[in-house]
Parts: sequence; structure tokens; C-alpha cells
Amino acid sequence: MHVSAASEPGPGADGDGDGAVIALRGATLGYGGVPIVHGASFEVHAGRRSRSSARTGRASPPSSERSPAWSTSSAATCVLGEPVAHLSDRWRVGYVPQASSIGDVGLTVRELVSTGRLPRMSPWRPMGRTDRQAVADAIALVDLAGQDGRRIGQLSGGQLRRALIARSLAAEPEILLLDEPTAGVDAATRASLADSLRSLHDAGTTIVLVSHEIGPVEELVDRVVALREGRIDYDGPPRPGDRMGDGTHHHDHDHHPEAIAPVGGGLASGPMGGR
Amino acid sequence: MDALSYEFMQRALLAAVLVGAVAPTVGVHLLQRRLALIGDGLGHVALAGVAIGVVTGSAPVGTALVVAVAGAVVVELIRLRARAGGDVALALLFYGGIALGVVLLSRAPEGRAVNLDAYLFGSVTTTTVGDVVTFAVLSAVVLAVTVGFGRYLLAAGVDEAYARAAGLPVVASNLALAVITAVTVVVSMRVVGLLLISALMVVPVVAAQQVVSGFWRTTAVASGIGVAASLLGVVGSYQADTPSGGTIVLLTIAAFLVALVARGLLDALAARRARRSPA
Repeated sequence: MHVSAASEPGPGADGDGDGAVIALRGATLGYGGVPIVHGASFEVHAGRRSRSSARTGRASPPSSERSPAWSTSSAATCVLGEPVAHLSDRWRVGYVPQASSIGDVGLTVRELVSTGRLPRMSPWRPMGRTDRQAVADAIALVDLAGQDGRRIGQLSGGQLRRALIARSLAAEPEILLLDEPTAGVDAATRASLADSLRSLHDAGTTIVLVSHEIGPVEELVDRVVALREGRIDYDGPPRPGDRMGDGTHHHDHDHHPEAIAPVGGGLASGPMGGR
Repeated sequence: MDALSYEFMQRALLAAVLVGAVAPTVGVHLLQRRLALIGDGLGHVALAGVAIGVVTGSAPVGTALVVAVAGAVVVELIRLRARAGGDVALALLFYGGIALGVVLLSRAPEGRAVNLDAYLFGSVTTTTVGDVVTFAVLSAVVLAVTVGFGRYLLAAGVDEAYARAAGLPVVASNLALAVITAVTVVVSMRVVGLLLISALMVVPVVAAQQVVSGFWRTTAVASGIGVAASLLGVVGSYQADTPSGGTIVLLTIAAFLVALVARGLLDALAARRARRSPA
């Protein structure tokens, strides 16, 4: 991994105060030795309220699909106040990968989501009541409550994605990092994903998602970091017309100015080779 | 049944129960990772270990254990370094192991004639008291990992990238699974033989999968099928004078077919009920 570090992280950033929960300072990130994002600097802050009730959701596209930004070790990349390589409690960041294919040996939704609770449990103890409750809450939050005994192999694409979100939520993370949550799914599925994310957002979870386009999730997004050709091209509130990400689709959205969530246009249009 | 009054039969049945119970608990993790055939590869490697034991005059179970565990760790390390090379590494392991075993055995000193069939296809009635004790200890170790720490193996098996991101012990889980797979191969060697080991790990799981949902429920039912097939197989092979390993494996396949039919019937019933009372 090629990284150019600009400065050491400041002390005291803890994620639940004013410090950034994610901070990139001149970070160059890549995949397989090939830099993809160059000299990126931005910070994501949780809301001003306490850790569990952070108010503000944010959206940004910090990396290509296959390299979630925080897996690229670097002093220039800090998560919850620690350099990402030394982050001790990784469960504090809930990572939701793109829908992966999962071998079906009868694994149920509840069992899948329970694996997400493991980082919070002692290796020597079985699941306690708190753990079971956290798993049940996570399943309920993504609206799969009646489905918890179903096999993973029997879920629809949208249900699987929601189950993967629930798995991350079972650890009660402070930040939720979603990798292309709406890629390649139909409109109904997007809407149901958006509902789940809205519940989370309302519950105060800081949400960071990487996407080429946001669709129904756009109303939730209050900040966009757009990448173009590996560099930060825009960082601010969602712009009208950003939806398709190349700045040329301003029409159709003017009547709905705050709702546009244009994440990740740079990734879509730039010659990044990261797809 | 008078067969049970023979001590060699009692030892055989004990060994069979241990293997039948333990092998599927490993297999369920292997299937979750789509590594159904890795047991086969390690079985081939274990033959090289057996040969080393025969040639050097030491206990083949011990040398097979050392070589199979080493092979398993090497495969896991290769898989760790080169994601795409796992397949090729497995092939090298398969053929390298069995070739080395056959060549070494041909060099066995006079007077240490080896019954290759006994290792390849099992010879459960030759189980000694010492073997039973060794198998019991090794089985306990395997169960401690597959059940005691099974949730970590499961998390890493379901989604390695996620498990690593969440800070779960992925490398340790994978290495642990590799090692207990090798241990299971060696424990099963006497009962079903090196060429049929994978079947005892995998087929009961596939059978259980037809009739129950849930990873752990599947594990429990698979283990039950493994025990039943092993017991019936040992007794049946004595009565019918057939090889025990092949008999046991055929019984697990019979269990799979029965489960498949049962599932078909259950599905048909459910469909009919759904048609009668439209929700």
C-alpha cells in the first residue's frame, strides 16, 4: 500500500466529542500497490450529541469498491482518533460489504447476524441476554423480524443486503460504513434499504457510504465528498444534479433542491480502474 | 448380537462412534467455506506420513498426524498469501502426498510389509486399545474447536473480509480449522480409510441440510447421522463380510437419499397445504 502521510493525527479525537470519527489527511490510498485515491483530506464528524445519539448522517465516497478506505493502513487515515492500523475496537466501525455470496449450510438470518455480535463478546462465554437482544434489535431495525429463522440461501437480494447491515448493527457500531449498498438492486429493494438506513439515521448512527449513485437514499445524505480521477473534486452539501455524479444532470432535480444526494460521481466517471 | 462380545468389535465400534460424531462437525465448517474436498487432499498427504512411519519403523498414526497437520498449515499459509493459488496448492498437495507415500512404501524394509489397502480404505477391526485412547483425545480436541470456538470459525467462514474488518481472529480460525481437519483425517484413517475420509465429513452434513435449517442444528443432525452410519456400518460389515469403510460411506449416502426424498415429500405437503388455504 502506497501512502503519503501528511501529518500525525491530533490527540484527543475520540469520536464522541468534537473529534472526527474518520479523518484522512493527505492520504493516498490504493489497491495492490496502485494508487487510486491521491492526497485525500477530509473528516467525518459524528453529531454533537453523545456517541449513541450522534445526529448527523454523512455520505462520502472515499475509495473504490474493493478497498474500503479504512482497510488501507496509514498514519494519514485515522478512525475514531486512532491510526487505522492500530484501531483496537474495530467493531466501532460497522462495515457492510457488498452483497457477498454466502455458502449455504443452512445458516439462518439470526445465525448470520449473531456472527456480527462476536466482537463484543467474551470468547469464553455463550451469548447472554444482552447479546441476544442486540441481535434481535438489529434484525428488527432492518425489518427482517419475522424472517430470522429463514435460511440465508432463501433470501432475496434486498433481504440479504439488509441482513448484512443487521450483522454490522449487532455490534452496535458508532459508524456504519456501507460499500455500494444500492448497486445492482431493483427500485423496490432500494426503497426498502433506504427505509432501513433512515431508521438508523434517525437513531443517530453516523453513516458513511460509498456509491456511484444514491437513488432513494439521497434524502438522508447531508454531505457529499465526490472523487474525480482519484482526487477530491467536491466536498460539501449535496448539490442539485449531482445524482449522476458528472455534473451534467442538473435538470429534473431543481424542484427538489435539498434532496439530491450525488455521491461518488467521480468514481463512476473517472478513469480509476477500480471497478 | 454376539459380534459385540468380541473385544476387537467393541474397540472398532468405539472408534467408529468417535469418528462418526466428530467428522461432520468439521465438515460443516468446510462446506460453509466451499472446501468440501480439502479433506481428500489432506488424506493424500497423510499417506506420505504413514509411509514415513513405516519406513522409519515408528507408529504410522503419529507420523501421519505430523505430516497431515504440517500439510494443512502449509495449504492455509499459501491460501493466505496468494488468494488465487489455493486451488493449485491443493492439487500439488493431493498428488505430491500420495505419490510420495506410494514411492516411500515401496522402499519399506523387508519384514515390514504394509497392507496399503488398510490405510486407503480403513481396517477398523485392527484398532488397538492405544488407538482408541489416542482417537478419544484427538476427537475431544477437534470437538472443542468445532463446537467450543465454532462461532469464530463460522464468522470467518461466512465472510472473511467482514470478519477481518470486525477485528475477529480470522487467521487463527483458518489455521485452527486446517489443523483439526488434518487431525480428523488421521483419526478417520483407521475407520474409513484415507480415500473415503472426505465422505464422512461431508455427506452427513449434506444429508442433514435437506431436512433441517440452521447451522448448528445441521451440525447436530449431521453428527447423529455420522454416528448411526458408523455403528451400522461396522456391525453390518462384520455380518455381511464387507469392508467397513465402504459400508459406512454407502450408509451415509443412503441417509442422504432418504433425506432428499423426505424433503421432497415435506415440500410437496407444504405446497398442497398452501394451495388449500390461500393466505
